Amino acid sequence: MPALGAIYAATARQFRRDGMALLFTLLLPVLMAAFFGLVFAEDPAGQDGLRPAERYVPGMLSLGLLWLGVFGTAPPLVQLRVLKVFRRIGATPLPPAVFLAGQIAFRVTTGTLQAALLLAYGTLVHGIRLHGNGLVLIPVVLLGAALFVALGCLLAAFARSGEAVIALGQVVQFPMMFLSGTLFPLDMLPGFLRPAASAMPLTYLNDALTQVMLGAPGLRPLWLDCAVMGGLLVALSLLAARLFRWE
Amino acid sequence: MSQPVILCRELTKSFRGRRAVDGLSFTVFRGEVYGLLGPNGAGKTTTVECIEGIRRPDGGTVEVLGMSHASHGAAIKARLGVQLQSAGLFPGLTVQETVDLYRSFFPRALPTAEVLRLAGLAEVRRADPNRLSGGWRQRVALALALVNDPDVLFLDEPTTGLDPAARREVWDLIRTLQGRGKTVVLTTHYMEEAARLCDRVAVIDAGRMLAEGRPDDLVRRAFAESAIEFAVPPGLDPARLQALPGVTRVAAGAGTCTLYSLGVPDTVASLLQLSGEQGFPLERFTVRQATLEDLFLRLTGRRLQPETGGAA
Repeated sequence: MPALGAIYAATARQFRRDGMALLFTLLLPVLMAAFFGLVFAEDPAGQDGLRPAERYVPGMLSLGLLWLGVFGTAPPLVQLRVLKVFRRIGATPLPPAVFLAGQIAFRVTTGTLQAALLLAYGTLVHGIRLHGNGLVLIPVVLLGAALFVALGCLLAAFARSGEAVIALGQVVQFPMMFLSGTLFPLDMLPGFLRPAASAMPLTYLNDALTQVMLGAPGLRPLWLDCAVMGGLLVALSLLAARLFRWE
Repeated sequence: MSQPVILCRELTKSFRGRRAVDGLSFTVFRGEVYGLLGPNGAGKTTTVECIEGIRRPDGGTVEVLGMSHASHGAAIKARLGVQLQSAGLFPGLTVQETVDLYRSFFPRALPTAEVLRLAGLAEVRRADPNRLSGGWRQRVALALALVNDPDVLFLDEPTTGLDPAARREVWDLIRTLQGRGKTVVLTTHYMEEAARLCDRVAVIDAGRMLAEGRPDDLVRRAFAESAIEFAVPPGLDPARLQALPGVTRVAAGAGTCTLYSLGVPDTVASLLQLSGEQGFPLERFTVRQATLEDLFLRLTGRRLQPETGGAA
């Protein structure tokens, strides 16, 4: 499919030429992890032998992948709609699914790069060592990236303007940041908020990454985290493809 | 007789209860340049968007190249070239990259170099189209309409915002494309553009067709008269000129007086005589054939381009 490759390459070019997007998307998780690393540098290790500075590394990767979807995917897609690029493409025989697939493929690659950079940081600065078979990290990152990029496509299908998509993104990202165990452990949450945490897709990615990257015990078995994410990915993708319109 | 390429029957489309297209029917034949002429907001763009398959009409039928969008959408689009008023430029891609990307959307495409050459874009191929002037962006939009070597081209206001030289180049390109056997559907609110380029025009206002035919015929059918124009002389009531020999109608407004006359020599002779007797000046005096602009004015009581002012 030459169109798929061309869309991928064009998206990569746009991204490369937009210096801010490049810096933000690729390096933000590392910067955030470094920030928390400094703040909690002196804090002692918990019962599981993990220090807070280490614990933030997988959390920042989860957040990085969330941002990749919510702010790295949805606003650029809405921009293409606002610039009437979508309407123009709608006059070509290109199926919307191929266009979305190219966009998603590129961003999943970006998510993988994000993960590689953060892993390099975690290894060099905090001496993190991948638990068990380190290769498991690759499918977990791919799954997480695909899940949140699909969520971004869904947001883009709803929002009609640049302002709307940012607002919508905030609404989605804000509870997810606080109710997923990325910024503080879930057992610090009051009981009535626990069910809300289970409803956040990020909770499952964070739990999976914590297990794979830190070897810490998870809230759920790794396979269950991945199964929930896989199910959500299919559901969100189908919904996004259904709602997506060139107009 | 050549075969029909576009069949449009009783097309209707409303936006929030307002009828943008109100029962339009027309046929475009292979190899012709067909113009949709009307003021801004007449429904021209909506009409072509329904034919292009990027808007779904509320009612009526559209057939393109013998197919309907419902059953053969992709097959139709593969053979159409579309220039939208809003160009469809990806941010962050050069002109050449944009053309390359659009080429990949079609099963068959012209070589990039040929597309750039046809649209006159070779020298700016490495530029960011979003940083080019409006005229250049217009050409990039035109290039995107050519990438698949289409059978039918839709050009929406292709020369709006262009300077006269660039406008002439676009007109030449349209003639070249017609020479290659393409069918061209052109929307415009420039009377001159429609008169020069189109084999047939449809005069459209408020989503309805007011007249259709060859530009010359349309004007000749509506006007046996020629137009005599001059600045309204101070102190003269233009209505009085109705009595001059040959004059069928007088229109005055925005400082210009237009006499439609069936006998120009008689009318002019008596006008000059009157001017000499009563001592009023005749400034900016011209005699011309009636145009599509006059036709539109007669059909609607309004000008195609309100910004040009003039008699109303």
